[in-house]
Amino acid sequence: MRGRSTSDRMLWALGTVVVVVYALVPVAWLVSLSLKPAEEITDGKFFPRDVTFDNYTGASGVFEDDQFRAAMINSIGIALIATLLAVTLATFAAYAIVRLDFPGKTIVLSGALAIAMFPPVSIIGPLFNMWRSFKLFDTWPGLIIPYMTFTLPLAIWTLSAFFREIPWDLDKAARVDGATPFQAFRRVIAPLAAPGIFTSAILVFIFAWNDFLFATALTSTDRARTVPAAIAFFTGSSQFDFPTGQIAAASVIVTIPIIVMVLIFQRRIVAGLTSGAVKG
Amino acid sequence: MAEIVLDKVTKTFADGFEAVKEADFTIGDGEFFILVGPSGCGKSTLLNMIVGLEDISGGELKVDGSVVNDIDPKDRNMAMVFQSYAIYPHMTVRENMAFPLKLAKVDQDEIDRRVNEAAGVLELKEHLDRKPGNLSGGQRQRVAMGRAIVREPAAFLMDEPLSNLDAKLRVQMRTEIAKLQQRLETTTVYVTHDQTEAMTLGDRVAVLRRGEVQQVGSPKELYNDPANLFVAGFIGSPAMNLLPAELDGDRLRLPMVELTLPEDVRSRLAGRSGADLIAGVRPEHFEDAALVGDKLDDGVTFDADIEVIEWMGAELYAHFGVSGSASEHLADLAEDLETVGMSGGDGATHVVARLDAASGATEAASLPLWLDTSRLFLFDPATGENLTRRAASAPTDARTDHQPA
Repeated sequence: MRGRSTSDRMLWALGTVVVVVYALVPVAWLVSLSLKPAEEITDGKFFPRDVTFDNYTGASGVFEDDQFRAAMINSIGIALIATLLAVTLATFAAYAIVRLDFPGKTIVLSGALAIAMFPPVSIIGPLFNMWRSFKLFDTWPGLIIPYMTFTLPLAIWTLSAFFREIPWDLDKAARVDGATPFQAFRRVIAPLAAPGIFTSAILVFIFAWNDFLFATALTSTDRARTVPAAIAFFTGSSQFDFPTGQIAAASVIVTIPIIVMVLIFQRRIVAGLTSGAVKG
Repeated sequence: MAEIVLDKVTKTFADGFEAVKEADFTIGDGEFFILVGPSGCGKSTLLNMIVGLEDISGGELKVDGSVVNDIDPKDRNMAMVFQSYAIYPHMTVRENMAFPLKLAKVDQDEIDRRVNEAAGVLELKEHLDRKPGNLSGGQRQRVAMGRAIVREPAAFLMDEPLSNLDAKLRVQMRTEIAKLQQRLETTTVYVTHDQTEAMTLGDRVAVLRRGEVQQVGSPKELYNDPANLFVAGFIGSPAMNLLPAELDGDRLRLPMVELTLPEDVRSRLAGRSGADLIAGVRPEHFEDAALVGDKLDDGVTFDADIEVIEWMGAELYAHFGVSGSASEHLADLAEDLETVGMSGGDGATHVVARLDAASGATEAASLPLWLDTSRLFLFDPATGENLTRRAASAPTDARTDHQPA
């Protein structure tokens, strides 16, 4: 920022404010809605007059709703397992692609890219039928598998970019120092690729957490239904009463884990972790 | 401590390129052995084969008598220092140095003892808890050395360890490495493209060109008795002057002077004669004729038109041109030596003479120069073979002399 003139800085500040407001107003609105009592929902005011937590903890609040609680557990479990599996697999795959010379290396990479370009909605029908015959319909693995499939390509590409940045000499040094290939990977290469691993973990987690398409199509009960799908099944206290407040509250709650995840992982994404490995 | 024997070690890459062709020599126990050559000559490949990072395509590699061709690098107990240092950036200096010992499951007290000892030797004690990112180039280099010495390995392998340091630090580290090696008496194989490093550090040196070992010998042997044109041109700074020569009986015609070959040189030539030879003269075998004194009759004197003088303090380099050039035979060589203008394109040759600082040479003036004819080298232009070799074939399988560095 050194050497910037005042007007330059003013423009930057203005731009930042515009972007932040643009991005955060809908979220703020959601929070506001969730804090309003039912009769105020449609008053068109941005700030609630009487702040109430009824939509969260009240008799008809989301925390008292069995369906929502089950959905939370499903969401957390499914997203975490999918993230763990996808990142682990992608780490090994990316390392192999970068470091080993094997036939069909480019096919693996372009195949992964092709999967990423495939519109998920086009396979929903076949998947629905297949999952029913495989007894995967309405189960955790039934969602974890498609989440992994659609996030692996991105994770592999991100991670291979990170592995490419790590000097190969470090591998060799570890091998000469007495490490087995796996030890060299686990103790030297993987720690250095940590920023990449956490980056892809965030991306995979966000995908799995936010997915609505697979969650509605491949589940039918509380056994595996995740929060985004569960919110759509919210019903009001009567058929004339649309549960806007509860939906808003559920949406706010479902946002919190994402923010927490990103904050945790972001601390680990430290740029320049490899500085000092080689000459400089 | 180990003796490393290379028995026709060959490396052929998947695309058929032969990086190393039948390397055949022995590195004695405790010896400081240098692999030197221009870039792409296969010296690093050879080193990687010794340490196990490259497969050996042909031949046998023996360490202390047992073949290690198929032994994994981790089981060879050799320590390597990389050109890029390759120290682990996420570990502190202490963790870096302890890493090989931890893998070998040495107990913690012993690890601490050895790391502290090595840190003391390398003056890294106050940096032990720092990360490599905060260290200077020289310190990183020492960490890499430290990681190698804590293991007390069978051999040290160093791949151009000094080439990333600046000139002053390089000279300093060179001395430190020499001292360290003398102290530890561990067999060391050192790869470099810098002939000065090779000459100053090595007990013995192997010169490589295009994957082929040209000559193995002590620095003195390489300098005084090179096997061929390549070794002659590669070793020595400034490089040997290479001139076209014509041999007629005992008369040798050089571009600047005609001389009678001394008996000693002629006997080594063993009757060879020919119109087309290449003569090699080291710059220090010229001298200002006024300063030669009573040795004047052991050589010939001629007048040279000095073009440029480089005064170095203790000596000076006088540059002059002579007409006639052996460039048609040397083009290939110049490419390998990465030198430009080894001989002028206009049929003239550029000659460097190393004169005593007391010389009264001035630029753009004529100066009588003396040439020591007993130190002339003559090479076969086609094969590059040195026709005036003192030793018919230098012993390559044993250490001939262990010079204190």
